Amino acid sequence: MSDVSKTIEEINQKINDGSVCVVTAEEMIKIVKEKGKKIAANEVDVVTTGTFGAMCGSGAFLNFGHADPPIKMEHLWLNDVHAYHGNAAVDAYIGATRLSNRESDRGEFYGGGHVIEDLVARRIIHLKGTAYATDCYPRTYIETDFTIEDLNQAILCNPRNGYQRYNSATNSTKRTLYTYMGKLLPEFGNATFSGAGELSPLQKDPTCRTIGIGTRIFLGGGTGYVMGEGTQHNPNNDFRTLFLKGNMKEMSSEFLKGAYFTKYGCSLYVGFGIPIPILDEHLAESCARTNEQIMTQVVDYGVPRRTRPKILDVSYADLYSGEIRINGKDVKVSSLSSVRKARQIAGLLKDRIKKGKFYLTNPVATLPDDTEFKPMKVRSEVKFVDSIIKTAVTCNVKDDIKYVANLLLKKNTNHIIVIDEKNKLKGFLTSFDIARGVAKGLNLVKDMMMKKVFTTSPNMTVAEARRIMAHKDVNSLPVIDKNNRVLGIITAEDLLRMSKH
Amino acid sequence: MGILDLTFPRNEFKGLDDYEKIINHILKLDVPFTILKFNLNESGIAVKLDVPTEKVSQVTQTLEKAGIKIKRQVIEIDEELCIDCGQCIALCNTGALCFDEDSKLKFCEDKCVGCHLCVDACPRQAIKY
Ligand code: SF4
Ligand code: SF4
Repeated sequence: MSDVSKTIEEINQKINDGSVCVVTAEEMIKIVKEKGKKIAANEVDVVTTGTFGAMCGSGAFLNFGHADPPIKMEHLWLNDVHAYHGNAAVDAYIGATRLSNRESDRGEFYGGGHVIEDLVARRIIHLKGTAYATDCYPRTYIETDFTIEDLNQAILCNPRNGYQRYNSATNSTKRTLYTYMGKLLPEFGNATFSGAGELSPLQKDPTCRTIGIGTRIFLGGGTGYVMGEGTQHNPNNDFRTLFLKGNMKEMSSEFLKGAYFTKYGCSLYVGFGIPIPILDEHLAESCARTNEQIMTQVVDYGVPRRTRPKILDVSYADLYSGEIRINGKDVKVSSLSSVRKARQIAGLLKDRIKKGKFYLTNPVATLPDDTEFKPMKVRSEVKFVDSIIKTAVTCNVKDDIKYVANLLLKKNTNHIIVIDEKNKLKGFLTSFDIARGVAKGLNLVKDMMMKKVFTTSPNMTVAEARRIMAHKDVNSLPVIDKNNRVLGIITAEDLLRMSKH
Repeated sequence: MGILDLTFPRNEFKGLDDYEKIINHILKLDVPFTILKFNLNESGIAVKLDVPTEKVSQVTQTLEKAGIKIKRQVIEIDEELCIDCGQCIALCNTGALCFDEDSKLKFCEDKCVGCHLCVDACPRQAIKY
C-alpha cells in the first residue's frame, strides 16, 4: 500500500456522495490498535472530537436594534448582570464571569454565564439601560424584556477556548480552598482536573496542522468557526488555545450551561468539537493518542503564586481512574469537565458529517507558532512576607515566667513565640500576657500563653498579612512553614516602616 | 458544619448511664461538637448535634454501631441541572456518588451519610438537601 495522502476537497466530495467514513476519537483509538495507523489512515476520513468544560473566557456580542426615540446605552444590565457597553449604541458584550448585582433577587449564584444559557434556552431576559442624552440619541433610560429571537445578532465569542492542556489542582494547606478549579479539601483531601483527555480537540491535532483561521467547528450545539489563536496561545510550551465564535441563535442550552463555583464566581460551560481530517498517517497516529499518552501535572493551589509548585506528573488515564497517589496517600480526583457530554458532542458531530450537514474546511491561514505567554508586568512590585521576615524571639513551652520576663527585657521586644523542641508553634506571649500571668500568680509559660495564634507563611503577600493583622486586631504574626515550624515573625511596625518608603 | 439528628431509642436507652456511655463514645473520637437540641419524645431521647463536616461519617459510624438511630440529611441530585461533570465524586467519602458505565452521575442514597461536603462543590447548584 502506498502512503496515504488525502485532501479536504476529496473528503468533502465523499461527504457529498455519502461514502465518507467518520469515527469519534474514542473509536479511532480502537481502529488504530486493531489495524495499525496505515490502514486506519486509508479507511477513516474524519475523526470527531469533543469537550465540555467551564470556559471563563466566554461571552457574547448582542445587538438589540434601536428603540424609538433611540438611546446610546452607557450602562446596561441583562437580568441584573452588568454588560459591557463601550462600543456602538445598541451593541453589548456580556461576559460569562460577571456576577449579578449584589442586591439582585436572583441571588449570588447568577451571572453572565447564566444569562447566556437563558438566552439560548429562549427564556425571557430583562434589560435595563441608562445613558446620557445626545442630539442623536435623546433617550436616557430604557427597561424592557426580550428573547434571543428579538435580537438582530447574538454571537457567542470565546477569546480563549479549547486549552491544549491544563494542570490538575490539589491543596496542601490546612484549610479548604474554593478556586476556579473547584473545591479543594485541606491536606491533599482531593484533586480536580479539566479537559476531555483522549476526546479533546487539540490533543488529536497537537500542532494544529488542520486547525486554523476559518476552521468550521461544532459550537454550543450549532456551528461555529475558529477566528484565530486564542489569548495566551503558547505553542512553544504546547499550550495552544483557540478564539471561537458562533451564531447563538442556532445553539442549544444543552451545550451552554451557566455555572457558579462557590466563593469564586460564575462561568460558562461550553461544548465544542472539531472534526480532524485524516489526511495522512501522522494524523491517524495523533488521533489515536490515548489517555495513557496524554500527560499533565498536578500542582499545589495552596501556594497562591503565579507559578504554583508541581507535585507530580500524571496521565489522563491516572486522573480518570479516580485516584492518584500524593506523598504515599491515595487522593480522590475528579473532573470539572463532563466526559459524557464530550462523548455526546463527538457523536453528534459525526452524525452531522455523515448526513452531509457539515463539511470540512481548509484553514484560511494557520495559527502562529511563535507567540509566547508573558506574565503581567506589575509596576509596583508585590511584596511577599519572606522579604520582611525577622528572626523571632522564642521560648519553650516548659520555660517559667522569670525566664521569659528576662527575655522580654533583654531582647527589647513585646512578642515571644512559644515553641516545642521541634521548633513547632505552640503559642504566643505578649508583654501583656506576662503581666497578667504575674498578676494571677501563674508560673509556667504554657499556662499564660495564647494558644490560638494567627499566623502567616513566607508565600503570603504583605498586603494579605496586613489584612489579617487589621482584621484579627493583632500586632504581629509568626511566620510558619507547612509543618507548623516557626521561621520568624513579622510585626506591624515593620509594615508601617515599609509603607513609608 | 454537619447536623446530625440522633434518636436514642426508648427501650434500648433506659437510664442516664446509657446516655452517658454514648456521649463518651463521641468524646473518645476527639471531635468537637455542639449539642443544638435535647428533648424527649415518644421514640426516645432526641438529640441534635453539630459536628465538623469532615467528621460526620466517622461520628455516624460510631453512633450507629452503638445502636443509635440517625436520621441522615441525605442529599438529592436535581438531574435537570446536573451536567455529569463529576466534581462532587471526589468529595464524597462514602462512595455515595460515582459514575455509571456511561459516565453519568449515579447517586446511591443508602451510602449517603448527609455530611454535605459535596454540596458547595457543585458548579450547577444541582445538589439539594
Ligand atoms: S453524597 Fe454528599 S452528603 Fe452524601 S455522603 Fe457523599 S459527600 Fe456527604
Ligand atoms: S458536581 Fe453537580 S453537576 Fe457535577 S456531577 Fe455532581 S451534581 Fe452533577
